[in-house]
Amino acid sequence: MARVGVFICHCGSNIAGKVDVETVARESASIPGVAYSSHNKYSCSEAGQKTIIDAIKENRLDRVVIGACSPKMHENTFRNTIRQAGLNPYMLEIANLREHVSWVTEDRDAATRKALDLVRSAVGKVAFAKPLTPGKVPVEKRALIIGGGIAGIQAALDIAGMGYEVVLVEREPSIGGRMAQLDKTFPTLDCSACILSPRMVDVAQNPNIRLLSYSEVESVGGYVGNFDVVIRKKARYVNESKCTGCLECVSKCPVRKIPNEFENGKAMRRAIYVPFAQSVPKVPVIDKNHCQYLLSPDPSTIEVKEGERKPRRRCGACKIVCGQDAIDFDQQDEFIKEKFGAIVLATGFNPFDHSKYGEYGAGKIPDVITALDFERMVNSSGPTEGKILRPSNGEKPQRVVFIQCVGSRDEAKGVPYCSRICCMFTAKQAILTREKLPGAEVFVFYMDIRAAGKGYEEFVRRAQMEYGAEYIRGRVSRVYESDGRLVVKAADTLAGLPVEMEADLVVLATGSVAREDAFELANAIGITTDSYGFISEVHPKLKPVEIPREGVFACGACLSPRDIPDTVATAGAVAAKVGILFSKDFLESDPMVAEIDPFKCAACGACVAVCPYSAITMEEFRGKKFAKVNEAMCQGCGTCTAACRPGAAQLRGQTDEQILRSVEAVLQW
Amino acid sequence: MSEQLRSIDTSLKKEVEKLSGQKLNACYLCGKCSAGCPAAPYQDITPHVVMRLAQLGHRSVLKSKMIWNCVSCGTCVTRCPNNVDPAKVCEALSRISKREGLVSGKVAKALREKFVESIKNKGRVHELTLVMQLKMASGDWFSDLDVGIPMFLQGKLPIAGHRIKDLKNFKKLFEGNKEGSK
Amino acid sequence: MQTYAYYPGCSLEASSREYDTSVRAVFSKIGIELKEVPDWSCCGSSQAHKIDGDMAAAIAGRNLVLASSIGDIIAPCASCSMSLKEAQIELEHDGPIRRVLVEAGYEYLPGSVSVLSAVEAAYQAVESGLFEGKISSPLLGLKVASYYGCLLVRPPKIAQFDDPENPVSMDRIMEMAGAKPVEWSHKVDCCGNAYILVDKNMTLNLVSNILNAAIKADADVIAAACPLCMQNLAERQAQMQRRYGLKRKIPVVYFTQLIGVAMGLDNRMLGLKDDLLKLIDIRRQEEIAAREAERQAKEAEERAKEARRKAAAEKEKAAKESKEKESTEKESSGTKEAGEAG
Repeated sequence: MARVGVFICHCGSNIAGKVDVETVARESASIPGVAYSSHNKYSCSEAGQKTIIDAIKENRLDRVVIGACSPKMHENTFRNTIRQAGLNPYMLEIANLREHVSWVTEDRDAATRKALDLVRSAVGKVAFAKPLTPGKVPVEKRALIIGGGIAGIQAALDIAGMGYEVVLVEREPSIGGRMAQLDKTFPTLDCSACILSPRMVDVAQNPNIRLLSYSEVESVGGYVGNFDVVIRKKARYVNESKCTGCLECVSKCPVRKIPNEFENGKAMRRAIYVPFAQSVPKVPVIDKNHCQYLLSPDPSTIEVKEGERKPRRRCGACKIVCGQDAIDFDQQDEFIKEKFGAIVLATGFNPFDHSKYGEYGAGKIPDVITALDFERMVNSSGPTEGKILRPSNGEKPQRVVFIQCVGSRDEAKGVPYCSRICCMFTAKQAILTREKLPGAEVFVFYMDIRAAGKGYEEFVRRAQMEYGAEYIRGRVSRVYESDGRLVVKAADTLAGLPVEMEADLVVLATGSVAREDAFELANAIGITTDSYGFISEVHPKLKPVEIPREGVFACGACLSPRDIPDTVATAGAVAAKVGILFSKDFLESDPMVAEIDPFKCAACGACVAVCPYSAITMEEFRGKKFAKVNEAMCQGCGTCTAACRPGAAQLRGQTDEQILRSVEAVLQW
Repeated sequence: MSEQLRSIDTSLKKEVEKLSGQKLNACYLCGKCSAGCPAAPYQDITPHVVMRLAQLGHRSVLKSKMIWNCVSCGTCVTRCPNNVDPAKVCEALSRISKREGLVSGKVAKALREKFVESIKNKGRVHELTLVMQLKMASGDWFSDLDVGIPMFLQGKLPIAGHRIKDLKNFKKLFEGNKEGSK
Repeated sequence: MQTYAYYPGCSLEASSREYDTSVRAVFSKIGIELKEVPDWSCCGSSQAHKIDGDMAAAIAGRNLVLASSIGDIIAPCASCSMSLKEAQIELEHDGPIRRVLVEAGYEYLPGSVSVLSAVEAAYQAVESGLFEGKISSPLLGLKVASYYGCLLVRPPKIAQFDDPENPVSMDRIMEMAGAKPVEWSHKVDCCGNAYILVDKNMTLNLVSNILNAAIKADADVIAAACPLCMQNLAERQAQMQRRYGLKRKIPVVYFTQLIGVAMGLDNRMLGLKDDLLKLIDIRRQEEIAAREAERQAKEAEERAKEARRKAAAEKEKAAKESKEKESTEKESSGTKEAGEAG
């Protein structure tokens, strides 16, 4: 015979303010099955929990109903409480008297009646609860990090530092990401490559990190602690183990006019190339879409007439000059299958495509460039060797205009959010311009200045006061070409004056947007993004790096636009979360999952078809087919139990019987 | 004279919102409208200042010239990042200012009133009359004689206006609907 | 034969007669019948809206009702087309405006009528090939600055036509007529419209900027599609030269007048001034001459190439022959030696 204990919480005045908790507690005592009933001001407090534990022991209760706030808040807390009293933690049911009653009901009497109904229902359900034991799932202590920018690099170093194996997958031929494209970083004006390169080298040399560059994740299966991942290592056509990085091959390649993606297309690369000088690994890649050799047909596939010579394959210069015989034109994509315990997304962001702004030239005016273009220009290893020049005629600009909020804070263009970093990088670029071109005027058109980090406000003030960048508050309506210069039509809203000024170079502070390929990857892994395409975290405040799929984490700008300090911090946070996961040899799997009675199962396969987590498979034993649930993969959604007609599939802790009894309990009265 | 903001006049703000159909709070005063407005350099205040004063319900805006001299080019609404239409706000304010007798744009007021009168009269605008009425309102009779006289002689400003047949029913359209108009 | 309801608007009847006549002439020549909307009334333009938005929609809406028996409307004046389009959107849902119309005896059926500006209609005609074979004297070499102004493309949600920042439809039409559209900075800048009568100073400043921009782009002529734009740009150029820094006079015409010239239509329908017709002729001659010069230069180059190739071939032949001669001489001297030895 069940002995239910009912504990009604006041929750301060949150519940007691609307619900007559004393009456509910008193009336609950006469519900069948209830052996004890009381009310308490703050059940979740230490004192409150103690009263519950004492009551359970004194009254020999074997299951508990707590009328309190949402189980999302304290289900785990109270499970722990009753465990301390010696009960199985799953012999608990929570009646939500706050979110479901006091917060949504106006009338006190109606609230009290509803509270009683919910308690009755909970008693009905818990009366048929069974003790449950969590399962054990082994943990593969190897982490997969997708994305080799500063976020992925930092996470890799931190996780490897704890002694675990890491595989870092990067889609480009080199790691480094956006930070490798920058010249200097705010607010310290550190040279970006100087602070990034040592870390890149650390990654390459760390014995715990396996770096797979020029690779992509093909598929992800499995579950936390046991992910089955297939990685495609794209063919470089260069043997990594033989290549010494001398780059002789690059210097001999005759195909020279391919827009270099690293330079946003503003400089050229060759068909065999490394993206930038400090690439890690410093092993070139052959672009099979432009390589003469690879594009020419394989002679063995060509039929020729008698007496005619077969055409040879074109070029092949790189193979000829390579002293290490590292060029391998027969290389194929390699598929690497590996098991991982945790997956970290660090895929970063893209700059906004400003061709959407017709009023700024729709991307067609050569002297209107993006902040990233400017960054490459001012970088000494960039297309202009660090000189700030007008793309139209190669001359030094006399006046440079920076326009903030291009592709940010713009509802009409579908990007209403603030991209966070543009005020800061614009101030930095303004400072760099004044440094390199002391005679040039610098104007910055802004709406607000967001400089909330450490030393950030002071940095912007330096740009204005020490470096003489002129800040004008007002958005720019239009930029157009006239007489070899640019005309900028803007407004000084603080003075109330319309502005029309000529400029030689206009730099657009383009906002950060989510990468489309990250969206595709998210779909492949089965995780969600928000309406802008950024990866969704479990909770923006309290779980900023966890993803709703267990064992998957994310850090850096793929979650939302952010600067390097925040990116590095979240990378460290992810490493800690992975560390927590890997610190155990076994994981407890939630026991409130589906189980299928093989004797009732008709093997119709409905459950297999409807399971959103592909957690059910058909098994066979001695000629009988039946469906079986993989308890580690099952998320307890209950879809299979609804689909199962014989009722073979049941959700532990939410069985059909429990649900029917809880409904019955309400209807009887 | 010192003018200080003591509070927000929500009644004026609400009226402007209703008449213009715009959510005034959506505007964050970036100034892009003022930046692109062709009329702005010639007015007392610019469109985004009109928006700010409307947000505050500040009655001084009713006396401004800007609200009368919007040329309806549509640049502001096309480029506004928040899909606000400052032109409609200027329009609404001009109507309120007329009601309150605070009109700064007398010639602009004359333009719209005479235009509509002309339509109401015969169903189509009679350009010659309209031009002459506006010359009277602006006091500028002579500067365009070099343009007007040749046009008149070419028959481009006919003296007789065309009267539509269904004028009686057409005039009903000016009475507005019984519940009150925008 | 396609039929459209034709809505001239108040200006086309009077001050902008050339627009009316040129539109009618051009569309008739490409097989589009324009039937005037019976008993049409003023659309209200931008001024009626400033008095009362509902009233403005109602008076514009009346014309939509009157046109519905004929078909979709072509309204050459950009301002008219915008007022009619706006009214159409207002009338899509039931409300006070529809009720006012019904009370006055006009029943509007949603979706019954579409509104096109003349540029839109002409562009559609170009796309569907209606101008093919009709351009008898293309405007070769004529540099045209297409001036769209405001109301053809803004606000984009109502106009729903072309790009509001960099439209190209009129440029394509001019290209079809054989002309050279120029890239210039003030395609969609406002001319001030009716405010020429309110604040002349402001308006002439705006207009002189537009004209100077076209002059900077080396345009021969500006093509317009709105009576008010046209008048503001064309009528006061002398005044602007005197006091607003206008660099020189530049002809401004309706785009349909230019199409008409290209189609060889009678100038009585088009109303173009002699100066402009002469200029068009001069440009055409220049262009023909330029193309001929280019053709001749190309031919000369081909001939030179051929000559070089021939010379090279001859040289090779001569070299080959002398080599053969040398080797035969060697052979004979060799045999002689051998003979001597043996």
